Amino acid sequence: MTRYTPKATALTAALSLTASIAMAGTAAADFSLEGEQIEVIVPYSPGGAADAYGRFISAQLGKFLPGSPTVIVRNAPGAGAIAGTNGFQQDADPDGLTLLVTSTSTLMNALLEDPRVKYDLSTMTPVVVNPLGMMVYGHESLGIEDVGGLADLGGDTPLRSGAHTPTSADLVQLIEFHILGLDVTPIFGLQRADAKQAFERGEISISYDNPLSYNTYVAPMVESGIAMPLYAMGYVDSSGERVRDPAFPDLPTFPEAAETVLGEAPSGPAYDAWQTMFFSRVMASKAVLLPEGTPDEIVAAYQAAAEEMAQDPEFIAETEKMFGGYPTLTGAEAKDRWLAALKFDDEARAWLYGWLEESFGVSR
Amino acid sequence: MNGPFETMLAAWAQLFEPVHFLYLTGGVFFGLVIGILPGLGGIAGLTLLLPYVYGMEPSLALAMMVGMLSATATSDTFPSVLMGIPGTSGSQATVVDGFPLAKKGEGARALGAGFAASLCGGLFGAFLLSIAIFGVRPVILYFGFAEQFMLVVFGLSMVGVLTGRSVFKGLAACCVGLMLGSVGAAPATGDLRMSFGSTYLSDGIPLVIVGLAMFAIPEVIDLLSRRKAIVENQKLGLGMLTGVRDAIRHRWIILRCSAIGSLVGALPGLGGSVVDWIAYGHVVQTSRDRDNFGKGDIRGVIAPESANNAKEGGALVPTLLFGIPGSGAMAVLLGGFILVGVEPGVGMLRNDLDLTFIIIWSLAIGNVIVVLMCLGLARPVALLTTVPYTVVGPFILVIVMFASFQATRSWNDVATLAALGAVGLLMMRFGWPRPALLIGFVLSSRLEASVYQTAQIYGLSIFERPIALVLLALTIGVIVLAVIQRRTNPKEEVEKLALTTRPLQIAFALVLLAFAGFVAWDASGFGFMARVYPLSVATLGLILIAIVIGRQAMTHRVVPELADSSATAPRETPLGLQFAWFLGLGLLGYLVGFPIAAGLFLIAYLALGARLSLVKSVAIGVATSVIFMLLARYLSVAFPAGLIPDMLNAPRWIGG
Repeated sequence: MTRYTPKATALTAALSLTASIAMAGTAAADFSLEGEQIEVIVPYSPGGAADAYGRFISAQLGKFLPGSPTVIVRNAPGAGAIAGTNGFQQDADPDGLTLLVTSTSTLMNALLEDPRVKYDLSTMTPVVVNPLGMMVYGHESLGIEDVGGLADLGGDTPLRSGAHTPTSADLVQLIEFHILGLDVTPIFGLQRADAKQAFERGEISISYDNPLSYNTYVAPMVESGIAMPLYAMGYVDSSGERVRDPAFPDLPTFPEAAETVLGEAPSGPAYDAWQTMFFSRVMASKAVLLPEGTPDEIVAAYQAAAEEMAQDPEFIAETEKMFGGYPTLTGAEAKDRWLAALKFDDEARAWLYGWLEESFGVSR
Repeated sequence: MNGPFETMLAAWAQLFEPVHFLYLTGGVFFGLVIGILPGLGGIAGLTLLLPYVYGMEPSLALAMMVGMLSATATSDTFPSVLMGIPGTSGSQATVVDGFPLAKKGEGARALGAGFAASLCGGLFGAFLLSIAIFGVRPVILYFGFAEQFMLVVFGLSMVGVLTGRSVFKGLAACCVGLMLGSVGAAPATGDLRMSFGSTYLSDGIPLVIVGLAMFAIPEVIDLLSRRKAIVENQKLGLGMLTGVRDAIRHRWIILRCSAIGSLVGALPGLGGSVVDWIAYGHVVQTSRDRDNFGKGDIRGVIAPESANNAKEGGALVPTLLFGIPGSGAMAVLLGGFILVGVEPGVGMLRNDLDLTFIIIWSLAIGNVIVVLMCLGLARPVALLTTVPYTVVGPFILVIVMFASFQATRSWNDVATLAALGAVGLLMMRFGWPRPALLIGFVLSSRLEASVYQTAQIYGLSIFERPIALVLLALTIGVIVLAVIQRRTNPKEEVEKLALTTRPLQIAFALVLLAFAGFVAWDASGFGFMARVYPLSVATLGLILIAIVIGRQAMTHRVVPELADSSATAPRETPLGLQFAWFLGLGLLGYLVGFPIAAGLFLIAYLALGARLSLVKSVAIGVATSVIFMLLARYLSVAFPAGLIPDMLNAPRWIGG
């Protein structure tokens, strides 16, 4: 069983962070991208959050790279990010001129062993990792005030949620509902935008969104009393501690919520599966990667640039506007969160596949 | 604090400041070009603009993007009317009557009518939008899954109007479309249906490809094999102003179709790509004299063109009110909004009303500017239709191939187009209604998803929802009317010559039957939720196609199921030969990359097929290659790599 051990990770994180900065300082001087054109592959369609992130971060990162290269974004959508990511794994030369942007579904497809996946994300090196939180809210028709109310609903009240497919990123929340012992019927075939409207129409009763959608869409519903915030997935801070989501400091984390509802701390294979997916869904929600086999000096140059970018006040102000108040992770912390999002132990996977088959008839 | 009215006037004034006006006009001009290029529509245009939008001043960026969007739905009339290729997926229905008009030498008239209708539709959409932002939120929220499902069913009922001579063939073609639409990931489970392990097919067949295969390929190949100019006697008849007068005469059609367009655009459920068919079906059904539709009736141009411009204003309603995209292009527009730091939704209407009005005015003014530009171009461009088709045709084949890349930029696009193009060609030859297939295809995934959603949430209580019932009544009305009209229509003469190729016609129907059988077989391997839809549609398809075959096989009388345009109106050269040229172009492209292949193909066709002098052919071919390379180099228009340039590590713009 693999458990996330905050202390040890924090220590290694701190150590390797200092190491990488020291290395970056010397290596970055020799490596220049002057006059080069860097291509950032976004395996998603234009429009939408992953594309906006890709364009934003590319433009920002370009400013800090040695030699100020031009950075262009190329969308390579298809098969739910699989086509573009496969292409990147196969074709990208490790010369620092091609980067990949990932989002949660890129990770989920690998975790769930989609037969079309021909990429191995653990071979790539994260340059920047951007966490993005996720919060869950209920409809006024449920008549509950907060997460404690879920305990009263138990398994007797039929709830409905919207989800794309049983193996899309929505799976993380479906697992949460399962752990909480709720009787939730997912209505499949819905993107997040469809689900938001269905929620407002009262066709689904429990839903979830990231802080950006929350601000534009959910907050007005909370104001008018239609929506009731219940819990957020939580966050892991730079010291490796599990804390509340910085965007939702008043909401309990999922483990807290589960303890409130179940009366004891959650455990077991379902919760282990959730642990990994928490990292895919929140901590490594968006990332920029270098391809397999990129030489150390190029990696160091990129990490130094990312480091500098992450500390730039102008950049911080911009990220706050675009992606909420989450810090941008670089260096060892980025790598650590990235690997945590890929680590999936066999017991948890066996449970998950069994559950998927039993609940939704999806065989893996 | 300014009131809404002052804000509205201020936004108007702002758009006429030099910088704003420049960006707006620039966006409009870009949209005009994008609309003319087949296969490229609002989505592609916005995607090309996104890199420049980042960091731009919001009101400038919005003016440019919305100006661009407002233009594509107008200029797409050019290829639809003059070449028979849908300019964007919203102008497929325009081809049905627009292209026959061009063949009669009335291309300029069709364009004039189309542009006038586009203008009215666009302004109607902008007007509706400006009212809607103040208070239709509850109306849109009333459209739940039950109502969306009924809307999809209503959309499907339009097939009843577009079946052509044989009802069975029409319904069977629609079923084939529904089956094609079920290829790829199942909406409820993500199971990969009929994808043969390919990532390409797991996303489903791209709409651009199906549109090109059903309209562009058959029309172009047909004309090439007849070896004439598009206008048979090479003379242009009635002009643009006649068209504008036609539009004024049919102002009520424009008004009704604009309303249909903006409603379909604003309501969730149908999506923009069927709006032209719904408007077309509507005008056919409500006209007293229907005999001319499909053969060049000006109303068949006016209806879809007014609807497809009006839908942009409609689709902006949910985009601005909820921050939820009303169409594919709106999703990209939302991406652009995020990049300039604008967040559509309640907050924007409350705090940034000025930006909201910038959007509305840009839409309205953009529509006017583009129509002025297009009217100026109409007459000279219409002259193209008098050039012998053996000279124009090969260019159009090159453009069709270029358009097909815009789906996913891979050779799979060309391969799929070739396969479906062959089907489209034979459907044209044997009198299978292609619009019916297209409607089925477009609505297929929506139908499947909304069946599940409605069943899960409402079950039978769908019949307690008043709007759903109204839509159901409308649907039944459309079907009943279609049946009555079919009865009262004078029976068209079935041509005896069509009998001569009976075995060939049956063979083609057997191919479709085999496809339906394959769909059923493939579906049976999945769990219930991934299986039930394709299995039901395939079963229905098997029955309908079997009926068609049965009737075709009856030897004692001539039935409308028998039709063969090659037998009744012989062609100069066989269709297959011309189609082989297209296959050659695809194969050559795969080897040497698209830009070089386009040049080589033109040289070969112009010298051998059109008998142009070698010098001329070579000059034209080289110039074409160079143009495509420049497009790729400087406008980041991408082509998939050719085998040989890829091995030589040639730069992407050469084809590597």
